[in-house]
Amino acid sequence: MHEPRSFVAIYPEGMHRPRGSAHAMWAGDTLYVAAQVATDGAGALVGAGDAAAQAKQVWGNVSRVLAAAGAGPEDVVKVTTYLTPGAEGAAIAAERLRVFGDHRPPHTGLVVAALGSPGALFAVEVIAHRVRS
Amino acid sequence: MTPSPIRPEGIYAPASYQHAVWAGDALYVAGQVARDAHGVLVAPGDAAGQARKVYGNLGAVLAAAGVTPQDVVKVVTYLVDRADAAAADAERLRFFGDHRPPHTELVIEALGPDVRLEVEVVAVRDTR
Repeated sequence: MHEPRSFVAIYPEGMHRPRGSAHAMWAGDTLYVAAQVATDGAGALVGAGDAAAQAKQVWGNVSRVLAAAGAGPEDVVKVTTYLTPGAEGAAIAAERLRVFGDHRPPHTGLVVAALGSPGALFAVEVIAHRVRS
Repeated sequence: MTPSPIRPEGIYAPASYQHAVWAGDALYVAGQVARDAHGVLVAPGDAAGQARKVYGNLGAVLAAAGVTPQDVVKVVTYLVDRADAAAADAERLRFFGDHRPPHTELVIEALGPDVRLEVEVVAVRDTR
């Protein structure tokens, strides 16, 4: 099998490496970012039961991944928020708006039964685009 | 240019959609479930058995499109029970080998009857 040359897997320094998954991957000018949850550098959950605290951590992680890839919130073109039942959506949306400022990428919000990471109240997945050449 | 339809061999043909479609260099692949060539669910109630079939089907779809697991850039796993994550992960790691496409894992309320997992991917044809 060939190794695609333009693909770049992103493993931000100081972030936990999930099993079998890069945090993000460039393919051409598109950056696919894996769902981010409120875990710290050791992979431990931050802010158990506290949506506002998790929101800070999740969006911090999204920002760290984007920065490690040489991109920023202004490059994001698609956002999906996966909420677990009962998660306080207002605090989570507020942090999203803070991160994006005047940038308004299309957003889809879904309530799912649970996330892959136990204790995670929500997860955020984004796609970014930036002309790299 | 309209690319020719992707017709994977040995896997069921859904009545209402295609398994995959090209958009420029990006290949969007429909969520794959553990159905055999006749559309019959295999290994009902057995997440590991279903995961093997799911990735077998995914491999057939990718091959029909002329790409490989190394070309996948995004993976979403839908589970109905987090307890199935280990079985799904084992098959995912086996399928992708050293390649590590960004992965999102969700537990949702239901899939089709008796379906334990579904896997959706995006692949990119490298042209640089």
